[in-house]
Amino acid sequence: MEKLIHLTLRVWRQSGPDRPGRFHDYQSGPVATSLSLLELLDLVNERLTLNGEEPIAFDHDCREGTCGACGAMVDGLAHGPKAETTLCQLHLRDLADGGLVVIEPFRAWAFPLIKDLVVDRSALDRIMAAGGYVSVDTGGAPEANVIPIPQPDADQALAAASCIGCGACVASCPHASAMLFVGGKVSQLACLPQGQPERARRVLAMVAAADREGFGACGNHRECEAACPKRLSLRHLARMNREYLSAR
Amino acid sequence: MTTMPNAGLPNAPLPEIWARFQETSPLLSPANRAKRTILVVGTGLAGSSAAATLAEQGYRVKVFCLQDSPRRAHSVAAQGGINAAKNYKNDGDSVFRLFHDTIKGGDFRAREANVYRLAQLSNAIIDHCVAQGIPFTREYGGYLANRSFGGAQVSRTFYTKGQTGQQLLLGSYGALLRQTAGGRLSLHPRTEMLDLVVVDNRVRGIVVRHLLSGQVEAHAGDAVVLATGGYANLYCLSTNARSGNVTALWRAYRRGAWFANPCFVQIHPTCLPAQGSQQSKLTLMSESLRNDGRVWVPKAAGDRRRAPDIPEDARDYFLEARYPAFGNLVPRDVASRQIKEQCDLGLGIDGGRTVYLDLEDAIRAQGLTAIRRKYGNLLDMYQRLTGDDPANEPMRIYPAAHYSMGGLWVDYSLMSNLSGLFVLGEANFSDHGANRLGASALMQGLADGYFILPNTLGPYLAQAGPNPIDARHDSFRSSQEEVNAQLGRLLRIRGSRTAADLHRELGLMLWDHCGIVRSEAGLRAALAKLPRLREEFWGNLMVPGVGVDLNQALELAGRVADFLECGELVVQDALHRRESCGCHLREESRTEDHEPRRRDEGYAYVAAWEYRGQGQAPGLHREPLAFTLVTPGQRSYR
Amino acid sequence: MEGRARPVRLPFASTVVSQALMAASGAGLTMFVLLHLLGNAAAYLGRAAFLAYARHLHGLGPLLQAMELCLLLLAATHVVTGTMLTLHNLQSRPLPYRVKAIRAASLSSRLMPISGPLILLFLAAHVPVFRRPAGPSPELILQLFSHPGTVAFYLLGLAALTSHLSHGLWSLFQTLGLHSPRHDQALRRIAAIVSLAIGMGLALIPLSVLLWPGFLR
Repeated sequence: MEKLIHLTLRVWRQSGPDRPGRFHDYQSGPVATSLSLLELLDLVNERLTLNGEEPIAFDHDCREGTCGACGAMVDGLAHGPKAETTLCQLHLRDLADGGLVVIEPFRAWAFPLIKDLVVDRSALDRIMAAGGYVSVDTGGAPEANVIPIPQPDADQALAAASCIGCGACVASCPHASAMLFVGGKVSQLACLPQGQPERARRVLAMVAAADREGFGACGNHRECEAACPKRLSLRHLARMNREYLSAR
Repeated sequence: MTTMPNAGLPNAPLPEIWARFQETSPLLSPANRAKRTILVVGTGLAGSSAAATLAEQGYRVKVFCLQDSPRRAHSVAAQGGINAAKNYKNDGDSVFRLFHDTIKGGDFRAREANVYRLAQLSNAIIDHCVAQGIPFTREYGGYLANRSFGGAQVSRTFYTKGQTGQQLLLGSYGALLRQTAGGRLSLHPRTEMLDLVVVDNRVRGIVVRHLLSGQVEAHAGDAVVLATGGYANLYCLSTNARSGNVTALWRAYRRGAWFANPCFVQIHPTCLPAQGSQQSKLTLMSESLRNDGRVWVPKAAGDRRRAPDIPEDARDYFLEARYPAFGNLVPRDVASRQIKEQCDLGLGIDGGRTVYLDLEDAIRAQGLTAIRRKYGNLLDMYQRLTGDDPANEPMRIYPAAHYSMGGLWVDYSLMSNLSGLFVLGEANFSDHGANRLGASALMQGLADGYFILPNTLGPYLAQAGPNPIDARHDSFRSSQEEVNAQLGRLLRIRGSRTAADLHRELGLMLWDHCGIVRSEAGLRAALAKLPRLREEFWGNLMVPGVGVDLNQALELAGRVADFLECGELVVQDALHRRESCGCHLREESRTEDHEPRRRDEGYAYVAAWEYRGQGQAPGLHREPLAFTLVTPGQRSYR
Repeated sequence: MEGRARPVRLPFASTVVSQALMAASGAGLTMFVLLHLLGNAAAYLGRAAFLAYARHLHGLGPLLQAMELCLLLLAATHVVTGTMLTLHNLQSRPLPYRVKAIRAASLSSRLMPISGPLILLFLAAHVPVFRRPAGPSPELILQLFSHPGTVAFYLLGLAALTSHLSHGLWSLFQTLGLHSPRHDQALRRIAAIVSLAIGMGLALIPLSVLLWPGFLR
């Protein structure tokens, strides 16, 4: 038989960017622990809807931990208490029965709040647009196996590339820094021969873009690495620093 | 009453058609490209690769997606890999063999020339993606690794561990963003297409709703490219992302674009089963698990013992028993159907809709370490989602809707029957026929976007000339008014059921009547229920809030409204196709030993449906399928 | 949202450059502190040895002045970059979380913006007292540290320094891109040991004056 628990959700409600926000409490009633927290929010929203109240706005999409759309602070932790887990994969069995669950949006100057738990993370796209790619037009590529890439380099590049762009690194950083995000892309392409021609330009442009967007400076608090649902290693951030300093 | 769809194929032997097309098509000069605006809807693999490449070629491109970032499109979730005919393994692969496997996998319901082109372009995709810095998995020597996938006899699948879709999408997303810096491409995230503007049978633009402000805007262009993905969310519970919808396709259909083979929806056998009514999605477990996992149910209905307590002789390994040659590795459709049949007989675990996928024997034979090395991330994922450890207890699986092979009808240029409307990726009726092989969705999306559309759009525009109508034209205004009217209508009902609730009801009903196994009686029952459900929707829906704000309930309501109409077309198409084909079994069309029977004599065609107005029966256009290089045969896995 | 104008004050060329300058100047300052500690050791060789050390130091003349200038530059760089980065970081999250938990950040890392100014405050009191033309005399030391209040103030300043260094010594390797996960554990341990050794080593003189009647007499 399914285990049931009861939770009090304390959710940040704010109808718009310039409106005042405040916490509002919702009782879950008895719910199965097999539900995810977002499914519980769905349930709360259906009840709110039927009462003619505004449902809680939150971003979500794939619900399997890869699209990076979801994200909120649960009890003060980005994506909640479970390590290497996105919010959509946080289940009620990971929370204490009868407890209070505080859900707050990601906060950063560079992530302006839109509504309730929805924030604008387009700054991350603009950082990518500054140089998070290899400038190759379709059609001009050489045969794929012309350049062998040592397996450790390819593995490093993939580890660095596993970022899903959810913004948990920014949200959890005491300085709201995006350097782990930048470091992932810089490190991925620095590990690969295809990334070499634009290596210096890329890191300079991406760091400049992150600064321009108003993200904080990295203070090496390591919160980003711990909060990252894909466990992006700080080594990528160190490599980015190295790349940046040698590019200047 | 019906016209014969014209695929627009150049007259040439199959392997030369694509080259002939490119050599003989008129071109558009770079100076003229800069004067043409292309509207691309959707930023998955097909949309973002097309938008980036068109901008590289010099077109002005406007890109729309409903997510907050183009990187979140659901291509990101594809785990397995991407096929290409490189023959790096020296195991006899070739363009012909990839073509052959794909068309056979689709149960001979795809257009031969398109599939052949897909196989021809497969290698260039890998070249391009490697050049983009996509970190494909490699061998010790530094060369690209391949694995076999989806029952293929050759190893032709390229992959980046379990995140192939994510990495390929980040490649095309990077290419897309690179063009925003160049200024030729503008990005419109959090924007949903709600109408297609067609004047004189030519597409002039789109009407969109900005999801944050709720403003309804018009955008005119010389061509519109729909790359909006599939509609498996018709079944409510599917492996698709929650925002997956049919709205863009459906609104185009209502403006005259033909919808082809809508009933072809792939069901994936190994998904995590639903637990309770609030479950929001079914997560796919890679079917590679079937290499070592054994599928079973208790022999006796009502056997409620825990799996480890059920002795060997009380277990029914039904796939192994029924298909001794392939065992647990039978194709997706066979596995899905057998699992469903067991559950329908009440033999599912605890009498419900789920069966065991058991690694116990493999762990005993190979050791837990070896199994973890192969499937570690999958086992972790299972444990994270269910709280159970697959090393101690067998996994529970059930089939779920996964991919729609059907979609808008397109010709060889990927243009629909409406001039200027191009449809790419899962959104078109595609090269996968009645069933899609593993690792070929990514291949098709990128072939369409990187290589096909950029070579077929120019010839179209060179012939059609610029679009003289801009977004201030009356047709745009009236379309905007219609969109606003529908949004207003949804908001005014103020009934007592949520869109999510009605969506669940629709999904369950279609799953039962128009899922893996279909019958005349079931389909007719669905046809009878659908209008009542639609009535309930339009009479008793509750959407809170207002239109000029971020209103996620309103977004969902609009999508469910379209699913309710699309569902009817899907059932109608399924009803008319009285054959077992691809991933679907039609009860009335079985062989003597109860296996599915395809009926080429009556149904070797693409069914393209035309909208004939509200309440009118849709018109059917048949595009006959002729095969010159392959001979259709019945599949047998006995 | 377009309307939300905020001057993003950029520290120097970029945050990464500022961090690197802060890290490098911090490394330089740490070197000085280590030298300082070595100098202090002379006090334990007896009064005569200490006097000799002080005399020798001040006999360096222009060299000493050059060293002082370097030190001043290092300190100024460290303070200016640190201040600008802190201001920048304060702006990066204008609205704090109502509930915030910590996963990995150490106390010392989070205290950097507090331990830094505390050290500066400490130095503002410490340097003018000891930096005199004739050098520190044993009498001065004995007189100063015979007051428990002064000793307590020194211990507080040195605690701040220890905390600051225990994060800074690890952090600077990461900032300068010299860090790799393979050496992470070792590096963190070394940083903790070195900072503790520096803090306790420097605390030894005031404590000795207070608790060891024969010291420097």
